[in-house]
Amino acid sequence: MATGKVLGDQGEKIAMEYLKKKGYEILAANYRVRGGELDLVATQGTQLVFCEVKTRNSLKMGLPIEAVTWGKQRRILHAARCYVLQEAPVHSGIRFDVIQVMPGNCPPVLHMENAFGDET
Amino acid sequence: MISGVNTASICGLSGAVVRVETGLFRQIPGIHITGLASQTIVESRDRIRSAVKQSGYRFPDQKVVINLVPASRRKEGSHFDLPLAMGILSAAGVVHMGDKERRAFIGELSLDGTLHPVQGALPLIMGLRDGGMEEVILPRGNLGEASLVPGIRLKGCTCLREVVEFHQSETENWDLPPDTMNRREPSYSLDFDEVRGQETAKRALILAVGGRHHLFMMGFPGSGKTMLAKRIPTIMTPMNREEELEVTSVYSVAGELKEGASLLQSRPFRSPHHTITPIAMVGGGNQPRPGELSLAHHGVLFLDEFPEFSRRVLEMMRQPLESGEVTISRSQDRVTYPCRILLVAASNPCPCGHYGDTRHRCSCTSQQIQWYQSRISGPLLDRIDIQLKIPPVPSRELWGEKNSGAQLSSEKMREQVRLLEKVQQERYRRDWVRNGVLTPSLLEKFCPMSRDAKRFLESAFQRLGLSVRGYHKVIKMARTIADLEEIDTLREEHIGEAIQYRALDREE
Repeated sequence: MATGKVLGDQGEKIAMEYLKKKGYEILAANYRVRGGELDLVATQGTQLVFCEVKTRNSLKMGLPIEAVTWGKQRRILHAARCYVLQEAPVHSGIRFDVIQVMPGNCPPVLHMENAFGDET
Repeated sequence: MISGVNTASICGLSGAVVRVETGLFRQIPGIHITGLASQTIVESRDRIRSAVKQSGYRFPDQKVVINLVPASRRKEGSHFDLPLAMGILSAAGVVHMGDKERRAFIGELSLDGTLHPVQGALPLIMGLRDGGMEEVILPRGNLGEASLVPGIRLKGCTCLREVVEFHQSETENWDLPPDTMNRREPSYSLDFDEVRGQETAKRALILAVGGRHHLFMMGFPGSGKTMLAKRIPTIMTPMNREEELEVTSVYSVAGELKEGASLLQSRPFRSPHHTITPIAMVGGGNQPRPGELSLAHHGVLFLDEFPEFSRRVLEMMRQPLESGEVTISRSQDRVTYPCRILLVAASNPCPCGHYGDTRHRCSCTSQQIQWYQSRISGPLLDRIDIQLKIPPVPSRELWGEKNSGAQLSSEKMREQVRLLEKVQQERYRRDWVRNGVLTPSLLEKFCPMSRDAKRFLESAFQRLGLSVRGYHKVIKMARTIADLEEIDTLREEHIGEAIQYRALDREE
């Protein structure tokens, strides 16, 4: 059974395939800056989508999407700001999604669009 | 794209126009509100987002910046939901507000986009009209009170979708003002003819209402103090339009107006419990709201068990009673609420209620009685012109023929009040000046006395040991008594009756 980093990488791969199939164009994966990380950056049409992928094998620790806490959201927002400044992508708007992957489940992917934004 | 829509915010009893600027920026999405918005307004973000989506519109995936102009004034209230939502929809291009500079919005949204009525709609609409607005879109539940304001077009809506479709359609169907304009005489379920005996007290009440003299009643339990007080509004003359609007505004701001209610036409009667806090009495709080004093504006404030009220409450009432308005100061701003009231206080003679009663034994200790009566005197009692003892009703009057016609009815009493008001209006030429508010210098000018009356007053002054203030009050009362007979010069009998209304002074 896959654990830790291996499980995470596996989940991100599944999520990437899922997005591609739905017609998203993947711009980057595992974009890292100091103080934050973006699992997947994609575009759907003209909209820029930042995806956080959470993968788990069991529900022992709760739902994967529950792990995207407020602190995690701040780090994602920070990384997204850095990405927009650095890469200057052309877009009409921005969205933050969370993708939950549970390899054993059917279907294994739950895609939550527009999961959060920048508000305090 | 930047959009602008209009709304208003409340300060005290008046509304002022607020402009809502909304900008969309291609940055990290989120709603940001600037311009001294209160917590209620900041919280509206989640309501607005949900309401917009549930109404079937796309919420912009961009950064939304909302600025409330003027940014220096604090803004309160849930009625900002609708203007904020319309600002966002307008900035997103769903509705076009280009040429609607004189249109304003108020309304609270629920998560599903339904519009809820808001507090203070009447002063808000008045403020919008005075600020140059010509059209207001508001929750249907507020249409009743809003239509009291002439000179402005109204549209009552039930949900956000209806508001948007109203803007998208070619024709604009404004709501016609409902027929609230026809005047009804306020009707009361109570009448003074239900009160047996107590004819002296009734006469005192006519004088109190007509001359606006604050009143204090002392009597044994069950002698009818409360019964009398509750019927006072029935003998007051109906309010004029301006007074009705003032009262309705106070209730609107206090959130005490029932949904769909329009003009309040009955004179208010407030009887707060004696455990009331100072803030609840005079108004105030973090978000200033009118207190009982202002809710009794143009009506009666009845304080039963007067000595039981806390010192602080009574102390705080002094100044507002004199000036007819309450001013609440905060570090940020200052609000003023009106409180032209008739104060009616009532009390037992002692804690158990039977001190001095020939038919019951008083069970209080002398200290208790002293303590109780010491609370009745004091600075607030100085503002009270009439001190009245309410005797127990003799049984023969209770069992007597009901329709003997002996009891004064409210209607007959109101006629006398009306006469008093007419006489005073002719004398003072101002709507609100009454004998009760005369200052000593004015007393001399308006209260000429016959020689007999002067002599009588002087001897009474010495024999009873009246204070100077008590002396002035006697003259004020005598003025009102003489007015009831439309006599200009005060006579001995007027002074004599006036002294009867110093029940507490005479005892000392």
